[in-house]
Order: sequence, then C-alpha cells, then structure tokens
Amino acid sequence: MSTAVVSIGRFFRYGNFAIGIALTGLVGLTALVSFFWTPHSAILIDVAAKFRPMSAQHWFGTDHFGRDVFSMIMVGARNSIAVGVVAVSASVTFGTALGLLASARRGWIEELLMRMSDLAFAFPAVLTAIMITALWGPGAINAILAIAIFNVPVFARVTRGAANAIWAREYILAARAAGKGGLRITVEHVLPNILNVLIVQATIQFALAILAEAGLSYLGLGAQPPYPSWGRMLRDAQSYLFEVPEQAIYPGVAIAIAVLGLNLLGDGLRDAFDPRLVRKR
Amino acid sequence: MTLLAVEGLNVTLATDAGPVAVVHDVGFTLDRRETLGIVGESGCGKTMTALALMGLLPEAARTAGRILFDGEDLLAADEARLCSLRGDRLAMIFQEPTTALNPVHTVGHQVAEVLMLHRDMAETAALAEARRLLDMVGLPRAAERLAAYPHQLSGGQRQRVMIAMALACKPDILVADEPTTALDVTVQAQILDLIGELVRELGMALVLITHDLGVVGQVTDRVAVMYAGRVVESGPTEAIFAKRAHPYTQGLFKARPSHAGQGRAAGTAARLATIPGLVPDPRSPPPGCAFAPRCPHAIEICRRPPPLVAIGESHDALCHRVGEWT
Amino acid sequence: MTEGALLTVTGLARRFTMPRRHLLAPAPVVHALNGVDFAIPRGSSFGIVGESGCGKSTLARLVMALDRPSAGSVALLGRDLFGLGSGELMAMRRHFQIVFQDPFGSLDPRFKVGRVIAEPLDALEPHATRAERRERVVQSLVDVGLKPDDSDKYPHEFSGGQRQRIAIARALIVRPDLIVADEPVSALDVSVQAQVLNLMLDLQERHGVTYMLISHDLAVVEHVTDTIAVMYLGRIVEQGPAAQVFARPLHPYTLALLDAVPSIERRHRTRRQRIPELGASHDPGDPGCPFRARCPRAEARCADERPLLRPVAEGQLAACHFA
Repeated sequence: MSTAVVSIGRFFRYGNFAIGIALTGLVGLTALVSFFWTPHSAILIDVAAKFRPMSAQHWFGTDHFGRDVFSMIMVGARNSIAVGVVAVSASVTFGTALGLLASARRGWIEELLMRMSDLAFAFPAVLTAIMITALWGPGAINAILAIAIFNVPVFARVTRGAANAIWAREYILAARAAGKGGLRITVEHVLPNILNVLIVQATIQFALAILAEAGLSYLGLGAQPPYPSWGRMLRDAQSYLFEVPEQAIYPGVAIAIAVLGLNLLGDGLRDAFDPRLVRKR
Repeated sequence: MTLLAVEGLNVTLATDAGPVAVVHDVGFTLDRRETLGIVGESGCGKTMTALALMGLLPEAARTAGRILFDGEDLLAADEARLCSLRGDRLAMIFQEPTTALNPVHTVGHQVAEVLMLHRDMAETAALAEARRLLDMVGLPRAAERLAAYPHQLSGGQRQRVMIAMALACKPDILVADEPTTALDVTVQAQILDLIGELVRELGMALVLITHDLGVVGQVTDRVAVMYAGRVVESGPTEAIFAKRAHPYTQGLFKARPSHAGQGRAAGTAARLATIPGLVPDPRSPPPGCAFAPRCPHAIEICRRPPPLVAIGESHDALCHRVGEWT
Repeated sequence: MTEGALLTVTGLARRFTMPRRHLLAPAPVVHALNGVDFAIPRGSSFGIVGESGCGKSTLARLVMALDRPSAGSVALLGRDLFGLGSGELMAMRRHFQIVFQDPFGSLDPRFKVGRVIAEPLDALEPHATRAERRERVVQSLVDVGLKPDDSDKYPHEFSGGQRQRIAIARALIVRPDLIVADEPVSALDVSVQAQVLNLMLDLQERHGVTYMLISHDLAVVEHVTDTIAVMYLGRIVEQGPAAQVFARPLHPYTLALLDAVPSIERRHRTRRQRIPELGASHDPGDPGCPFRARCPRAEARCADERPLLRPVAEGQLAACHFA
C-alpha cells in the first residue's frame, strides 16, 4: 500500500517538475526557432487570405489581416520571453540588492525600504504597470520597465526575509568574528545561501511577467504592431470571437502553457531545493 | 506475567541506500514500579527502541520480534489498537517540550484533551482533572496556568505540562526520551525527582532514555547500555556502576569529566580517557563485535559475533573477553 | 584591573530593549548583563558557568566585539575594543577568535572545509600567498587531528565532533592569543566530548593559547579551567580557583548548582535542598540580592542590600552576605 502511495507522491513531485520543464522548454525552443525559421512571415499582411481555416499550409489558419497565426505565435513567444527575461533580470538585480542592503544594515534603512515596498504593494501590480505605460506611453520597452518596477519590491521582500534568516545563523557570527565586513559576508555567505529562494521566486515572477505583458498588450500598451504579441493577438481575436473562435484559443493556450510550465518548474525547483522535503521521503 | 517483555526486537529502516538495521535483538522485561534506563550515544538505537515501544516508528521501519505488553504483542497490533493504548496505558515524554506542545492551544486544554479522548470525560470535568494534574506535577499556580499558552511558560514548566499530559490517564508504562536534556541542571534535578516520585506513587513502570550516566544513576533500578543498535551490557544499576563489564561501558564512564580533582587546578590537567574513533556507520557495520574497532582489548576473536556473558545476578555483557583483562 | 592581563573586562553591562507589548506601553528592557568585572592572565583558562539566561552568551559576544555593551569596557592586550575604529578592530581580531556551540550551525554548508578554516586568514591577512594559505590550512587541520585532504570536503561529510575540530582549526589559523569557546562540547556525545576537551588542552600546551570557556556543564569547566566564575542573572556571584570553588562553594547558588548535577557517585542520595525554579527576571532597580527568592538562607538583610562580589577566602570571591 505504502509503495503505491510513495510512487504516486513521487509522480506529483517529479512528474509535475518534468511537465514544468517540458512546457517551459517548449516555449523557449519555439522562441529560439522563430529567429531562424517560421512557416510564413509573422508580419506580412495578405488581406485576401484572411481567416483561412487550419490547413497544411497554415497550421493554425490566418488572422483578419491574413497573417499566418502559427508564425505569429512563434514570434510572440520570443516577445513574451524577452519581456519576461529582461523585466525579471532587472527586478532581481535591484530588488535583491535592496533586500540584501536592508538585511545587512537593519535599523532605519530596513524600515524605510520595507515601508516603501508596502506602498508599492498597496497598488495592484497590473494597475501600476498601466499607470506607468499611461504616463510614458505604450511600447515594448515601457512595458518591460513597468513590469520590472512592480517586481522590484517582490524581490526586495523575499530577499530580505531569506537573508535575515541567514544573518541569524552562527556561521555569520563566526565570519564576523573572523574579521569579515558586512559587504563581504553578504557576498560570500548570504547570497549563495539564498540563491535557491531567489531562483524559485524568479521563475514564478517570470510567469507573472508573461501574464502581465499579455495583459498590457491586450490593452494595447505593450509591444506595438507589427510585432506580434500573444496579448494583442487575443484582443484582435476578440472582435471576431463568434465568427472564428479558434483565433482566440491559440494565443490563450500559448499563454496558459508558458505560465503553467513556469509555475510547475518553480514548484519543482522549490521542492528540489528544500532539504527538509528531501530528507522526509 | 511481567507487564512489559521485549523479545528479540529488531528494527530496520528502509532508506534510499537499502535497508539499514538500527536495532538488533534488543530484549528486556519490566514490571510495575520498575525503572529501566537505556543509555547510549547518538545513533545507538535508543530512541528507535523507545518509538517501537510506543508504536511510533516511522513508516519506513520494519520490525521483527515481540513487544509483549500485558501479554499482547504491540508489534502485531493495528494502528487503531495502538491509538487507544497510547496516551492511555502507554505514555511518552519527549526531549523538547517546546515542540511537543501545540502552541495555539492552552496547556489546560491540551491536558484535558487527553482525558476527553481516552476517558470520555466532559470538558469541565476534564479541566478540573487537568488542574489537579498540573498541581501534582508541581506547576506553580496551576489553576491560573490552565489558561496559559506554552510560550508563556519556562522550559521546566513546559516539561511539567508534558508530564501531566503523559500521566493524565495513569499509564502503566511511561517512556521518557531524554526528558531533561534541554533543561538547566537545577531544573533537571527537580524534574528527575518528580518523575521518580510519580513512578513510585502511581505504580508505573518507567523506561528512561538518556545519554547521561548521572541521570541513570539517579533514577533507575536497571540499566541497558546500547551501542550500535545492540544492548551491550545490562543489569541492576548498582551492579553495573560497581562493576562495569563491557569495555564500552567502561569507556563511557571514564570519558566523563568529573569532580575528582583531576582538573587543571590540580596541576597540569589530566587528559580524559577517550574512546578513539567514531560510532560505526549502520549501513556497513563491522563484522563480529561492533565495538571491536574502537576497543582497547579487541583481539582476533572479536571479529566473530560476541556471546552474552553472565557477570552476576541478571547482569550480562555482550563481549568475548569479559574478565580477561584488569 | 589586573596589570598585564591578556583580557580585562570592566563594568560590562548590556541591556536589550524588547518589542512593546502594546502601542502605548513602555518597551520592556531586559538586563542581560549587569556589570561584570574579571581579568584573564595570559596562558590561563577562565571558565564561566551558569544556567540559561544568566548572560554568559551575551558576555561571549561582547568579549568578541560582536555586539556593543550598554556600559563598561573590554580590553584585550591593554586596548579597549570598543574605543577602536572599525579598521583597527578588524586588525585586532587576529588576537582573539571564537568557537561556537553548534557544530552544525557554525560552519557555512556551502563552504568547503579548507575555505571555512581559511576564513579568518582571508579576512585578516589578504596578502598571504596561495601556497602560504594552503600550508597554514594544512597545519591547522593537522593541529586538530584532521587529515590535510579533508580540506576539500564539505562540512556535512563530518560528524559533530569532527566539525567541532574544524571550528577549532578555524579559530587557530591566525594563532590567536585568546580563544573564546562558547559551550564547545555541549552538543557532542560523551566520548567525543572527551576527545575535543583533550584537544583543547593539548593545543594550550603546544601554542600557549588562553581560553575563556563558557559552559553550563560544571564538570567540563572544572576539567579544563583553572579559574572559574559562576554567573547568575547577569552578574558574577562567585569566582575563584576552580578546584577550590568546586570543593568549597561559598555562594548558595554555586552550592545548589553543584548539588543538582546528577552524579554517578551519589546514588540514592538524601533529599537535596531544592531551589525553586526561576520566576520572573530580576528587576535591576531592586536593591536586594537577586538570588534571595530562591535562596534557602535568605534573611531580611538580603532584601535591602545587594551583596557585592568581595574576597572571602584565599583567591575566592563571592557575592553573598553569609559567605
């Protein structure tokens, strides 16, 4: 009995992780391939060929401008990943630096940074992004900036929490007694020990960033035409939802795959990094 | 019939690297008002033995042998039966009272819960009994403390609450796993006194698991010294303290710093006798006597499994060479 | 205090302000250390005994300048640690190192043993060449009875006793004058405890290092040190040559501590004098003796007048009116 329970448990642990890797890999690969090859041009308009159904020539059919939807999905993946990578990298860099600073200095610096992040959290993330793009104007770069900015407090908070736990360890005290300063301890002891937490959080924020980018594009605030993006494809398809519903399904499923894959990946990584879970099994 | 008879107890843990035997052929008997100390260092199998008595071994454990409690084999009993025995006729105290108590319930509620569960008491009656129990274990101002949460008590007070919970249903057997290790010496002395008194008053049998020979000497009638999963020496506490037969027992006694005036102040500090080396890895135990690689008296024959040699009245040691050296 | 002492601690006090219970209540203040004075001569071993909450770990952190005192000073080699600039303090650290209690928590799990041991060297002597660094790591490993190639392993590959050896090797690498050992063996099994205590004694003979040993275990302290101080609620209540204090304790708290140790020799002893459990922490504004609530000998005088630590016998100090 218990063997069966263990293997089902294993499947949920490793199986989900594997699915996460596969889905994320699929999205990544699609984006990569789109640089070298797409079945058709993703931006070339051919109004005469609009709303073609699925066929050997157009795998996912064509949209209202006669563009090949499969090619657009491929190039859209590139856009989503680019936005996610840049936005998350930027926010990891700034957020982690602020969190580490707060944790190393404590006192009023920590208090100030955390109250500021409370303030940022008080606004819904997407609303913040809309506000920023509304101020600076729509466009891919501004969308990235907006997403990066609302992710900074997330990373600052996660970093500070994890780093505070590390600062309380005795080996930190030992390092101080050995004569190391705060910066050196942060770089040599704290950062390597919280890296796993950051990787997991980055994966999950990556998923959220893709979702946010799709949301902004859907509102017309993200990547501008002619560059395809999943969010805008969804909006365009909305107008013809009753005539050609499948046009909405393709980008919707693509977004779902990317977000689900990254979330499963994040969960799997968290389990893999958590020594308590490993020891229990 | 004896209250508790453990016969040929073996515990094997399933690990990623295959089965690992952690308890080998442990046997002892225990009657009411008797106290047995199980002594040994970390990893010697003493806690696994205690958990086996309570039916609380981890799921990955496989057992062999018998644990006869009032004639009933606990190893063969199902979980439902064990549940009805645990907390009622079998009770256990753990080392760390902080983690063993539920932080979100008052101590009164936690003690009363045991009574409501096993004695079908109504809540008010159970709380009244809880107050009496907390009084009995010497918790100061017990009536007020019923409404206290565990974090509002000191370590010693929490351990008293644990004892009150364990004693709530007047168990036949109390298993105490390092009950005072986390406590200060002055508090430890009080808790040990308390346990000793309660065992006498309530007519329980006590199994006391500890690494501290001093604690054993203070409380127990009989001692079993465990090493690498086996009982290497057992007998009446007096007899073992007077004549340590197994080289491991001797090593343990000698390694203890004591106030014997051998400290630095008496000149250059004498070195403590040490037991060289490390406890063997249970995944690859040495052949024959498990202590042989660390034993100062080991010879060729020690590579074969040692016999159980009678030293005196119910005093045995698991050694080839008992009495062959001085 | 004492001329030529390696370490002199004067009037050391440390208060901690705790979080307020509710918004308008004054923040509670805990007096962890209430004015401690002692001096440790070079080459000796000074033991500090006490139960949890007596301030002994706070004392260790202050002596290591890992925390700042509320009052008082710590002078090493005649220089006040808290009067130094941060650069000077860092340079001073080569003279004093620490060994912690927990052999699992005090080593960074991501550092290889060689890097753990070299940590003080890397911080204090950054100009050491690779070869020199390697040589000193090996020397330190051999000093504590480990093998040179252990430096390439991770801490989790070692047992508790071996890890404590690693911690000692780390403290030893800069050849400090003083090693503060905070409960160095209390997490270890008895047989391993003996190995580590013997190692500490060997190292003292070989390198002339001075120890400040903090422990709750009276037997350990007696075995290793020549002078001991017994702490109670942030103060030293008795101090003197170890053998003398253990043979003839003059403060009732020391007596109670010794009496409480379960002993192999005294089986089925007569009922000991029990001291009640520690209640609320002592109010520093209280004029009396902090121990009087638990003291079997307390009299009216003890409530009005706090006994000062004073010489009561040859080399032995006690803070009790009746000593």
